[in-house]
Amino acid sequence: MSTEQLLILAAFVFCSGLFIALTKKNSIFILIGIELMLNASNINFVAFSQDDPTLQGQMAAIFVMVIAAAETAVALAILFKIYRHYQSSDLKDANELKG
Amino acid sequence: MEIAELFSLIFGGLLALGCMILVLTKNLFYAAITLMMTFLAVAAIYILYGAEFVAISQIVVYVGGVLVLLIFGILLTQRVQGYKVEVSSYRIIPGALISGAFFYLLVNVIHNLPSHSGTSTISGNTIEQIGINLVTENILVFEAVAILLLVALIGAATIAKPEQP
Repeated sequence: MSTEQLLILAAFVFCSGLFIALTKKNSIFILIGIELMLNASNINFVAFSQDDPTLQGQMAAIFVMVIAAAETAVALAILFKIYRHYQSSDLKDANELKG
Repeated sequence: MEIAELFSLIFGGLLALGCMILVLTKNLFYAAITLMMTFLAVAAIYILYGAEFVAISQIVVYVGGVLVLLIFGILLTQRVQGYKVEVSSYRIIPGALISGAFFYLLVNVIHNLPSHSGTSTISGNTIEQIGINLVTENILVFEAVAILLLVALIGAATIAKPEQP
């Protein structure tokens, strides 16, 4: 694939992730969508660092990966808390503050 | 060169297929397994485009870490016994409009990019270069990310801990 085709593929992955995050009701499915979007951004970083011998794009991709891992851990902790409180992992049920 | 082209098409196709399955499936557990396929396809694409270290990190961090966490999450928050782990969708038409419009925008932007040689000029040992970068130019980012990861993991453990009576 040329770089342009790779970028279009990454755009497709990003938009699939966006669609999943916007339309699914389950909170873990929304996390899956967010992971897809982060992966799409990483594909772009790698695609653009092909011509760069200093590899700054790949460095950015690695840092994005670390932040994605931290984000997943915190998000799952919050989801467990919500599940324990509302007995549901549907985000439409979590609709009160300090309930 | 031919074989690399063929493999990039195969893995690109797998990645697109995985995304389609993720969009269309209702079963949460199938989605997690399909996500593993997409992560591995992304890792293969990284290798084909000269980012071996990023590919290995992708497999270790995403497939080995994030995905296992997600599957634990599914098992702990769904009532698996006697119920199907199915997920319904809502706002499908606005969601499709927004993501479709955004895809159109991105494709337009990509077509207007200045042209590019399209061949990888990276050669030799990228891992050595990445290691040198990590402890020279990017040392501040490296340390900041390390502290962020520590704080995030401690915070996650504190949030998820059961309340003491």
